[in-house]
Amino acid sequence: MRLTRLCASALLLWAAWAADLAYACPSCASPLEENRQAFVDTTIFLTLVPLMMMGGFIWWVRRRIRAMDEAPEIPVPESLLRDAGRFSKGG
Amino acid sequence: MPDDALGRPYGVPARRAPVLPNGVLGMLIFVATEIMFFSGLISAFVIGKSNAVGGWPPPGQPRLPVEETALNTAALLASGVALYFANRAFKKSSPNTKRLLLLAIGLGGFFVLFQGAEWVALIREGLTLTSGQLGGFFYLLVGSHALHVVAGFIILLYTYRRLSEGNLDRFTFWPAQIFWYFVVGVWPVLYWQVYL
Repeated sequence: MRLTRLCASALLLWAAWAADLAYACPSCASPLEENRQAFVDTTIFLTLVPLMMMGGFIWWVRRRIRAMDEAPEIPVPESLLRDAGRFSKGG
Repeated sequence: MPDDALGRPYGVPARRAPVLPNGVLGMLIFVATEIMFFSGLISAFVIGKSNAVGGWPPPGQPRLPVEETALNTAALLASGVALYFANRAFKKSSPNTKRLLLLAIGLGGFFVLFQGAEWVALIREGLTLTSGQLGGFFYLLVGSHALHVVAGFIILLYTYRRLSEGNLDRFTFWPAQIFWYFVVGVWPVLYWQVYL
């Protein structure tokens, strides 16, 4: 089990290292400084946008849940409390 | 009727109100994917622009109508503002809702028509999808947005019909607004990147 984990971690590390050497994107090795900068900028942009969206959503939901918890409880309407007939639990 | 430990009557399930309606959640997830779609397109455009030989815009290509599109941008932004006020009026059940929603739809329609006219003029000048990098990116980016505007326009027409029939609820109106705000919000970014 420990060996499997060790092998999996080593494989993951190797994959991360290999991706760096692959130069799959033509912009990575571009001699144009402006192009390389644009590649770096867009990589940062595309990494941050989903993180910001998810973070923003979680923050908003947490705020909304807190506001709902702090809001006074709405009383159950009388129509729901009355006897529902033969199978009513209250009877 | 006996009460439970919290003082609630037995037999009545303690149901918690949803944090947000299903329609709103669905639309938010959809808009998130759309934001990533446009982010990818804009990123590709930025890299393509920086890689262009001979500067940007490429020489020998028609110029994009910056001033005319600024007017069109203002119309689309005004449409978003009109929808915001339509929602405020809707919350108060004000009769102004219909007028403001119609104004938002009208401004959205103006944007689509104006852009259509702009495209016709650009095609006549020789800017097509295959005329070069500028044309390819322009029609891909602006065309994708235009498709979204048309979809949003149809959604707003649907909400207007529901409002006219007197059966528009906030669970229908909110998702429609989210989509339209997205369409309005993404346009200034496209205008800044593509036209300026």
